[in-house]
Amino acid sequence: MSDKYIIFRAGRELFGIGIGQVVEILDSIKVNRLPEMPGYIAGVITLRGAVIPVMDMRKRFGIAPEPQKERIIIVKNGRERVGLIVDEVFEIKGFSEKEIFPPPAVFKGLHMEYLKGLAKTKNEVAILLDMGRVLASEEKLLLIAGEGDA
Amino acid sequence: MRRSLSRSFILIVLMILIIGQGLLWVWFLQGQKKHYEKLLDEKIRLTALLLGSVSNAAITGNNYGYLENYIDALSTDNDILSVTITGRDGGIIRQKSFRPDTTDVSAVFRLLYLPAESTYDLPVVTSSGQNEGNIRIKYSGDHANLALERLITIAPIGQLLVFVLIIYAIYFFFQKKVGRPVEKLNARLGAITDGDLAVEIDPGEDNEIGGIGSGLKFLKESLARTIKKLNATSADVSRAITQLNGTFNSVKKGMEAQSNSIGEISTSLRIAAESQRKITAGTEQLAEFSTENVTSLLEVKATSEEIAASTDRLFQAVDDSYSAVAELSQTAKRIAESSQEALTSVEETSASVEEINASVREIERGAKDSTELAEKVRQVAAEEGVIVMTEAIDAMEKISEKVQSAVGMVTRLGARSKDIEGMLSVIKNVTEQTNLLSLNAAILAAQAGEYGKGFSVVADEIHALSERTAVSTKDIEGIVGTIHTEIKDVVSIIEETMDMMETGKQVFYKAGTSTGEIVTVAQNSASMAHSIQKATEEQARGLSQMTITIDRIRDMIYKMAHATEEQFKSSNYMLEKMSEVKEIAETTKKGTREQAVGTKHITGNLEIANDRIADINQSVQSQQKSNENIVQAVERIKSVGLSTLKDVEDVAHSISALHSEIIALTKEMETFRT
Repeated sequence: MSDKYIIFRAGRELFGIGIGQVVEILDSIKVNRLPEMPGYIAGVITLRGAVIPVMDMRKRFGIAPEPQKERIIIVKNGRERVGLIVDEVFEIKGFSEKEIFPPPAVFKGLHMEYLKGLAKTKNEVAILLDMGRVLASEEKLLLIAGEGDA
Repeated sequence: MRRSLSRSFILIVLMILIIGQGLLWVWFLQGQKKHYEKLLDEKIRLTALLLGSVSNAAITGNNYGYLENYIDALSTDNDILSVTITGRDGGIIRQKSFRPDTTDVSAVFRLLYLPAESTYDLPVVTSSGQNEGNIRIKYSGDHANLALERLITIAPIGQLLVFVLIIYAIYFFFQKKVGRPVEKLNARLGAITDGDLAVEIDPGEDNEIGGIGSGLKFLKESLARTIKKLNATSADVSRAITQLNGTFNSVKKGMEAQSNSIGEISTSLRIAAESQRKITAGTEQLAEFSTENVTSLLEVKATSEEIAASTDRLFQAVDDSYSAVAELSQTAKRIAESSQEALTSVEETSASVEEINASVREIERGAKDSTELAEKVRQVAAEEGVIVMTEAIDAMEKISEKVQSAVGMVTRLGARSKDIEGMLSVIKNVTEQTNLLSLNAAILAAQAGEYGKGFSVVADEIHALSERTAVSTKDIEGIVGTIHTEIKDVVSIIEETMDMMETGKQVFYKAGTSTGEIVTVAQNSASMAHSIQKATEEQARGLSQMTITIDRIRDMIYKMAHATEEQFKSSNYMLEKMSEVKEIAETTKKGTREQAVGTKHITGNLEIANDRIADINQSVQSQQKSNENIVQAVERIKSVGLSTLKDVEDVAHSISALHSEIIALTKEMETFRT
């Protein structure tokens, strides 16, 4: 039994998000900016009538952007849906539990709680993120507030 | 009247004899006189002593008888003249004179004769030492004088006789042995002195005089011979001088003629020097022309070197293309499929490339024509020169036009490739959309769980397909970019070719000014046109290659839709073709280099020719210089000839003078009878 992950790139780093948390992938579309928001909150988009807040993953993790095929990944957190701006989406890949390694103690500005583990893909190592925990921090509140404002 | 040598000799001998004899005689008489005087004096002294002793006895004994007797006895002596005996008181005791005084001798002989009367006194002394008186005897030298007189008179007569005998003997001997032979020789010498050399000389006896005689005979004979020879020689010399005089006169005439000829030569030489100076001027002009030729050829050479450099650059471009194609070959295997849209656009591209290819072939034909024309120009350049040159220039201009149309074609090709780029972006867009769709399908499939498994597989396949399409599209983009770069390179090469042709045209114009250089320049232009043709051919070949390439791309895209394997093969085939292109480019490069070397060689040859002309110029100048020297030398010879003529005249005068002198000498010689 293996879980499937969407592999994407932010800056130069590879990340993975469990496919169960992903709703869909959008081509880069116009993002409406929101005032008085932290820098990593890019703004909001409208998707099939719904307004969805969008977070810039690169800014969130303090990585310099290297956009080639900028995409927005729509993830769900319970009933909420959040858009993540990434540099490129590669593929959908399944990893068995053996293939996932526990994360090291400190990892380049990421808090340990966000990480599920590390997985090897091709020649690189992808950081597997737990989006529920990522969004469960104060940003989540902000996002909700943002949604509320919109 | 000459003094006889014998007479004076005899007189001298006689004089010596007489004086010597006289001195001897006087010395002898003096000795006789002293002898007689001594004898007389001794006799008288002894007589006195005896008388003294007698007297002493008589006085003492007073017996005078004995004394008387003794005195009487003294009278027998003829020399004693008187005897006187005096007593102590001085009174005469006895006195007796025997005879009167004899006659005196003549004064002349007084020196030789004894005195006629002398006195001898003797004191009478007793035994006790008491003076009793004095005895005085007077005596005469007459008897001794008589004896001396005889000597004086008789001896000279005998001596005179002896003298006469000696003189006669000497005279006789001298006259016979010396006097007469000398006299004879003297007479002969007189004859010789008078010029009679026919006289015979008898040398006489074999002694000193005889030696003189024979010597004189020898001298006379030698003199006679010499005079004879001298006479003959003098006649010869006279004849020779006469001849010489004639010869000198002819020499003088010849010298005058020579002097005139030298004058003419001098004038001719001056004319020759003037002509030479003109030749030098001509040669210098020729040298200037030659230098100009070399300069224009050097320009041709520079142009040729530029062509070589351009060919090098072309080669570089082809090499780059080759690498690009090699890269393409590697990436081609990843191309799997492509869309129908891409195929359509490639079809369009292919059509336009075909069009371009056709135009390039036209260019190629034009270039070929130009090459042929250039060749023809080269062939007829030597005969028709500038006219053909003009034709060549026209041909060049035609080539220029063709090349310009080629530039238009290639620019259009560039536009077509831009179209391809636009189409490619559409393909890219579609591919990305497909990719996104496949991702979302996969997400949906995953969310559908077990039911979505089949759909998941399809989604994955679509994803893989889209990925591969994206890669292929990217590669095609790269190829199109390369083609674009190549077109740019081709355009720049064509522009360079045009520049070259412009330079070639200028060279043609310059070459037209010097017909001597036409052949060389025409050859250069022929080879240049040939290389241009070659370059154009390369272009054409490159373009057909490009057409093929584009065809390949089209095929490739077509085949991508069906089979990856075949596409891979095709790209490999393309690589091979590109190798061929590279090889052709290398051949072109080599040809260009050879051409450059050829041009260099021609330039070298021309430079050598130029040097030769300079050498000729130099030698002509030096020849001129030597000619001037010759003129100067001839002038000098002329002046020397004139002075020689003068000298010859002087010599002729001298010879005439000598001739008259010789005639005088001959006359002088005739006085000798031989």
